[in-house]
Amino acid sequence: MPGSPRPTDVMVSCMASLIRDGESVYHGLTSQLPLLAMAYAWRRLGRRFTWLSVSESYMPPPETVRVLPSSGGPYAEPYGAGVVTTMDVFDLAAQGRIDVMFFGAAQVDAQGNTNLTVIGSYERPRVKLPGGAATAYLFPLVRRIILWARHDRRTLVERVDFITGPGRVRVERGLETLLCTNKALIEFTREGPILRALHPGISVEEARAGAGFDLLVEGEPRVLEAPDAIGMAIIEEHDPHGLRYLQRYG
Amino acid sequence: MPVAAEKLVGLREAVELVEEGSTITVSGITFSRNPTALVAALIERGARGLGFVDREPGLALDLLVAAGVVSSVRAAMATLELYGLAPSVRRAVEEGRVGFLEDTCGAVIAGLRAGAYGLPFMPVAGVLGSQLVELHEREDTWRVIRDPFGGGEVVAVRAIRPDVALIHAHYCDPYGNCVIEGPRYEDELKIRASRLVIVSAEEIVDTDALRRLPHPLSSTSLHVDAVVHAPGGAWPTAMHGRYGADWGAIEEYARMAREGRALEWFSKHLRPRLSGWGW
Repeated sequence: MPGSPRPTDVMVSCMASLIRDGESVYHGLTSQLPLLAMAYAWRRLGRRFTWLSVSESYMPPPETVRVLPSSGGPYAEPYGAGVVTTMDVFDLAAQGRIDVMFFGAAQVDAQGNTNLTVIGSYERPRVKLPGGAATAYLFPLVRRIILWARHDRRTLVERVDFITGPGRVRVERGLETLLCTNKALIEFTREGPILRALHPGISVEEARAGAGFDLLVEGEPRVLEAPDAIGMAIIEEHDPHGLRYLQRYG
Repeated sequence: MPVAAEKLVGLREAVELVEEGSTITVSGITFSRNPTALVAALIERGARGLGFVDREPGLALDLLVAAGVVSSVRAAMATLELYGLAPSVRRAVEEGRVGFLEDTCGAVIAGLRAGAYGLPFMPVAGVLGSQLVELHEREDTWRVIRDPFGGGEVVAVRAIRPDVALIHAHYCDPYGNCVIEGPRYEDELKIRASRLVIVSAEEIVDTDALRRLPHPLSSTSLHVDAVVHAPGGAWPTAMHGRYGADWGAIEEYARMAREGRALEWFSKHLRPRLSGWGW
């Protein structure tokens, strides 16, 4: 019997639901949740897309994908049809030919700017974060960016300490920026951040209380579909040891 | 008589080539194909104060920083992925002991391309709007320029030319003709952009064996200065087609490094391997 879905699993199905047929989709490092979301989109939601990855494995059979401590190693996505280098994918992105990319963030602000650089000032960091990797490069280039982050006031802030990913540029250009948290799905728009959907059991008030910026609500936000037993069985097949829970999204 | 000179040397001799004040780059990413044998040799040699440039380093960088070998870093991300922030890098930067210039993947690639292509700079798409631009303009590593053909603003990345590239490959002949199988990341650019290239390989083969391998060469003898035989030379990081990452050892590293004991881990796990690599 598969386990019952936890907020982390709802984040996986939320991210998966944002992938559409025919798109080119890339994930980076420390991207165990996006990796699962891609497998879930393929196997549970029946989405068909071009699978690209920092591991440079091109179109791995989704059934063979495994969550490991690195989402960039050669054994997370084995048996690809071949190697497509990150350089090659990023050149496609420069031409506007990459549709979806996932990014984590230590801070996200009301404009959808993200910070993976420092907490505090750059010169005297209180916390030196890992760095944004491709964030700054791809933010102005990729059609849809799917962010994932913790739903609390330390993460969802009025202003990020450092703009690693320029969300404002995306909003101005009409590029889609969506954020899957452990409580909700938020979209960054010209009007501001809109609360699009809630995890099962989470209220609008709770989602608002957990954000350091005003969340706009248009009508009644949808309730995100949690993975069902079949969905959970798929997630567990890819991540039998529950490594996805190590990032503590619940 | 062969056109190229044999460059097969011992590990010790190889890392002696790394001069004081050099900026180095390494092969692989986070936990894949790090040149750990060469890195271990640099640490054992007692090298200090080197610069470091790479796109998405992990274990090798954290070890080098913990050992004081590297004192300034330029990278798009430094992470131990699921094991968290690279602890030695984080601590050293927060304490002001190590300078860190954050870069972004596309710009690192552009800089390495300029270096490899023999050009002074390379424009890169994206990036504008990120505060990284201010940092790099201050360092004079990037400039925002106008497209000379009438387009808008674009970021120009000054060529990245590391002094030394440490590369771990699958096969190499004694002349420096090497083959990397599977993912290559930017390693072939690093080989071409760097002034001095040291290749360690799982297998040293003769040139005739390379004729039978159905792979393109990642480097030729023209690119490489020294070749070292280091089987298992990426351990504990993964080597495509040969061995997976040793997660037990990596987890132990992450824990010990968080406790400030990265060098103890080095003494326990990597130093004993040095003799097997001919130290």
